[in-house]
Amino acid sequence: MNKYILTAVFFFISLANHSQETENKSAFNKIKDRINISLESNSQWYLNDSKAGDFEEEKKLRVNSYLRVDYQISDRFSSGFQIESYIPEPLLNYSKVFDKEIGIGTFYLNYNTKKLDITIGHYYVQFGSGLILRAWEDRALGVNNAIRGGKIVYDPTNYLQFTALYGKQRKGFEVSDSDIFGFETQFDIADAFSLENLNSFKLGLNYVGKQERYNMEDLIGGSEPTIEIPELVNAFGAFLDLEYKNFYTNFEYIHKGKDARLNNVIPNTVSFSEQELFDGNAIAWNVGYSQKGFGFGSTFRRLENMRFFSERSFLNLNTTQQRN
Amino acid sequence: MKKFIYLLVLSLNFTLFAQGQLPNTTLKTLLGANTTLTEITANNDLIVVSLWATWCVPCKNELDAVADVYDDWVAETGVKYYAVSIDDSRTAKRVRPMVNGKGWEFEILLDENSDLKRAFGVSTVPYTVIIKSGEIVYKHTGYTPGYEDELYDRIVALKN
Repeated sequence: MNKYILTAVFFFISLANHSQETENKSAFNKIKDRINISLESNSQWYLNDSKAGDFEEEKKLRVNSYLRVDYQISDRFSSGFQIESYIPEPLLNYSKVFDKEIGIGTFYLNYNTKKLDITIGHYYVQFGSGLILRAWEDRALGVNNAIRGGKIVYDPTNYLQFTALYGKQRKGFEVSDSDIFGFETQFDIADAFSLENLNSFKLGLNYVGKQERYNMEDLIGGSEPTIEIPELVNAFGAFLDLEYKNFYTNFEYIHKGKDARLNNVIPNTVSFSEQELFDGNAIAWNVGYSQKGFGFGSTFRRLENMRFFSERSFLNLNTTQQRN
Repeated sequence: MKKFIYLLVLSLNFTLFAQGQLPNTTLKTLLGANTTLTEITANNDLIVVSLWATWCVPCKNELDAVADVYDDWVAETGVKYYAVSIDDSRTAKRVRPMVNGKGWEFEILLDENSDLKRAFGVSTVPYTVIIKSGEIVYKHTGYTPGYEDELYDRIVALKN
């Protein structure tokens, strides 16, 4: 209930401010210039098939709809929200958490100038190539893991950028029972030292922390852990981008601190694979050469124990149990 | 009446869109610099923005077709074409070698976390918009061979 009120407040305050200006344009035209509305609806009607068998689920007509409204309040402020509807049922194989729901999926208020960008509400972000943190939306895949909280991006100069964020990750129309902290700095070395012979030379450092208290009640079946599950799991990453003449290379390394590793191969059962904590790491390396008429690129990626969920015990997406 | 062997799925998709404001999401150039549509349109009155991806075959066909005639387009209308790649980390690194290999002359930008795609309300690529004086005046989804001629007619009409 609170978040509906909050969204309405953000949105209607901005409209009210705008209509108090004294200009020749009518209020409707002024709002029309500053508003973006987008409606997308995907529906499917599943039928029985004589060879493959009857369609087993209860509802045969399934619809995913998204209504998104963005409003530019002034030069610096903007806000918006997105309503999502999965009535009567979401498309097949979408997360069960969306069954028969309609609600406000995301909302935000944004302040943007050349040097500072502050967002309160839901935001999307990617650190480096996204190995350590990526919040994005892909409706066709049913992915929207936006983070609800606050994000500040500060560009003091054109070769330096800092990002700091905090929030809880979206889980259906709710948020996860955990806190995410993130910090990134990007330094454009080629720009800072005016290195003329390099096309690009960038360094990035980032940190992501997840704080989640472990509840014994989350364990269903399996055995209780004899180890202490850490409340705060930290991950550190660094990346380097280099482009020299026709060559380019990009290297990224992430290290994730010790965390329990969940088994979760048996449906509706949350259990630990071993009574031990595992740390994780990830390496991604790209290298290539390109010139007019010819291009070559290669990618190497290796991940080890890099499962990094905002809620460990929510892995069982097909669970029939309702989670609060 | 013959029986059908395959499962029949009726699929309905529609998108409605009303846009008043240009999104100012951050876009990266191939050299790693940041820019926004607002910056680009401040210096260019007539531009075409086309969203594409390295894994999207119709997108590549469209860009190949435009590349063939791009010199003429620029000479006759002064339009600037921006091809924004929505490739994410899995495929973003392929953009540069592919673009150089193809020898495309127009400018390539990267939208790595789909911020511009989301702001435009795009459901599928290829997606093309024409922006005149900072306002979106034309949108089109999809590409069929020969469509670039229709796009060019629109550009010429908007030139004035």
